[in-house]
Amino acid sequence: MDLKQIAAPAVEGALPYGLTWGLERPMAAALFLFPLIVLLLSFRRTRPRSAWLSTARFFPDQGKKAGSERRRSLPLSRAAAIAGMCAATLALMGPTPAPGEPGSERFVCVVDRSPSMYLASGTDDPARTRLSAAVEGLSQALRDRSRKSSRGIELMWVDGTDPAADATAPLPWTAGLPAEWNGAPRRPRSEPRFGAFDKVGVIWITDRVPVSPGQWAGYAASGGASVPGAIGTTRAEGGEPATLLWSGVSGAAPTVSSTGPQTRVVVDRALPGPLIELVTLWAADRGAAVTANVSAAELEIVQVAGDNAAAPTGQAARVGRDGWSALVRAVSSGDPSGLPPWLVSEDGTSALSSGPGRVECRIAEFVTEPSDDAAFAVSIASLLDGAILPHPDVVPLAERQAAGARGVSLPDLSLPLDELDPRTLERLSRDAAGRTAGALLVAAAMAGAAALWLRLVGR
Amino acid sequence: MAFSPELLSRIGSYASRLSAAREREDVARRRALRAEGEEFAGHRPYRPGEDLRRLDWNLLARLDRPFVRVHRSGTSESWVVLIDTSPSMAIGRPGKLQSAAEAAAAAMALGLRLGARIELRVGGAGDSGTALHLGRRSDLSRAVKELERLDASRGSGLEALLGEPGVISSLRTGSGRGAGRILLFGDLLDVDPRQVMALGEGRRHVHLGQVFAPEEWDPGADLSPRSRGHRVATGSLWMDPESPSAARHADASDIAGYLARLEAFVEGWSRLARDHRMSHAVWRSDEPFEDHLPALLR
Repeated sequence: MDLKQIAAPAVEGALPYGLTWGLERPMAAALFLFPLIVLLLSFRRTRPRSAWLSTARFFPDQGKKAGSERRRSLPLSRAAAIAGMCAATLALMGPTPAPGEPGSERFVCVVDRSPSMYLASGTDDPARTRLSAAVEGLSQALRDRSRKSSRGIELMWVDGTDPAADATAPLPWTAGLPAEWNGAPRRPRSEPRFGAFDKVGVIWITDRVPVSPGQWAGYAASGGASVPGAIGTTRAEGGEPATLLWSGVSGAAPTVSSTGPQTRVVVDRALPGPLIELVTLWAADRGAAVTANVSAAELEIVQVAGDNAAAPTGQAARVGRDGWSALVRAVSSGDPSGLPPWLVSEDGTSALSSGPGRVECRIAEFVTEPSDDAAFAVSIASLLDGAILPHPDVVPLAERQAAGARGVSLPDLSLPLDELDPRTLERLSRDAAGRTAGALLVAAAMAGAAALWLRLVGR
Repeated sequence: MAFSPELLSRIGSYASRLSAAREREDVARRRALRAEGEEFAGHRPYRPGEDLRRLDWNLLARLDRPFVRVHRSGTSESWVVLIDTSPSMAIGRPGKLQSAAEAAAAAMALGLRLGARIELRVGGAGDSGTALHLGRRSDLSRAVKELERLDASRGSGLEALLGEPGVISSLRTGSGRGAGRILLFGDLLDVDPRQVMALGEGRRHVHLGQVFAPEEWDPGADLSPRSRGHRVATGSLWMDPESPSAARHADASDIAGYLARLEAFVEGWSRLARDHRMSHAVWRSDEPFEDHLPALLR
């Protein structure tokens, strides 16, 4: 996820680079009184002067134009002088671009969805996770901030553990975390690299107070004590599946429990014969239960259906790895799953692909048996062992470690109007102020010179 | 209208200097001025360089001292002075009527010094106006008082004065031997040139004194130079006091055309005077009468 993809809030009257105008000396606006007076006097004096002249008959007769018509034209020289005075007054007021102030503050919350965030926060409420604790701490801080400001606060949520995730739409801070994020991702994820999110207006949602806080970003850390529990699986002496338990004491060795969680596997019955036999044997050996509940399974092995799976007509191709090979006929087509290929035929098509918790098979049938059954069994077993997800109750030891004290630090600035850091904004502000003042002074001088010239030529 | 002591002094001084200068002019010039003859006024000592024909040889024989005969030019001459008192003459700072009255007073002072009989005619409200007859130098004070009563807001123009039945013929015949000189003071804006040409028939000499206000020569004259362009550019409403409904709106582009038409109008009177042997002088009401009266009384 790239923060540049976050849409900046639109602010009326915003300057380029997220700047809006401010005034260093607003009281200088009183000087506008002078050009205003000149303007009013000019219009007052533009009334046609009526005077007696016995030779008036020598003027051309312009009809009724002469009546009581009141002209409102302004001499060019005076208009230039007024413009010059206005420009000089503006220059004295010191217009200075400053970071824009949107109607409401907006923050981006980058959420750590690693397994540790879904551990109990250490209170009596087992449903209260570190993530919910961190969000509560953030809400409390935002509540205090909103009391001090009349501006509203909006939050955009970003899953920091998913590189492909997009930010949610801006939501009121009271709406809280997106509901679907209250559950841990099925596939364990690593803690975000928060350093990449050190931007203005960003808040890191995590469990540990960052050792190196961001220069611009803030954080909301839940803290929390260590959480004892399963940290891995193993086999008991009798070959039965067992669980490694950690007591929660730092440095303590884990213990083995024979009452570990059972692995659940979903097996597609459309798999080709040699594969379905092997998968069944593998599940029995691993003590895994074959189930149809996909959402609760640690592994799902599926057969990809082709255009005509019942009667495959494609050309046979040879596949093989780890010392075995076979002639297979793959499905003629099928939507790519996006999983990395594990077994590729000699014609370049993917026969087996795997990812965390899922194995996809595109082999419609084995034309010949695997050349080496033992090598084939070891090879496929290693595929399944690598793809199986850990049980939800099994959390790595590093994740169960204590997260320290709770901490919340909101960033000073909310989301800027553009992807510029404050130093850039300050530099742009200084540069723009200097250019603006200079341009106004030059404009005032030119207007003054023009007024003088126009006056001399009688305009 | 106001004639301050300083102004009266200027008028007296001007008339004295001009009359003395007239005496020193050549005979032909003087004879030209004496349209209806001359009158013996007395003797004075001969000054070297004077025309010997003016020497009184009989007196020289009797007294053995040279004296010259002094004649009073215009002694038998009749002048008629007409002053425009229409509302348009109230324009200007100083007003055109003030300037015209000052010039008329100076001209009358000169005429009285030269022995002319002068009839002052000014337009009045609702009637044919006032006619004041002057014959002695001391009558100038009466003329000044009459001029001080002039009011452009209640007077009438030259056109009305000349348009009254019999006025022109009266002017031509005058009382006694008739008018030798007719002096008109005003802006001549409402005067029909044919009426003026009728005045000049015979041996009468017509003098046209045309006065305009400074702002009539420059409609922005009352404005500061820095603001003049703007005010004209943004437009002004010019109203004729004798025809307020005929207001004209002017901006900067109209000024040039206005001046061209005004100059053509003045040039038309100048050409008429030249073609009909009249004297014509035009001035601004803020200029002293001494600058233009010599040309008018040529």
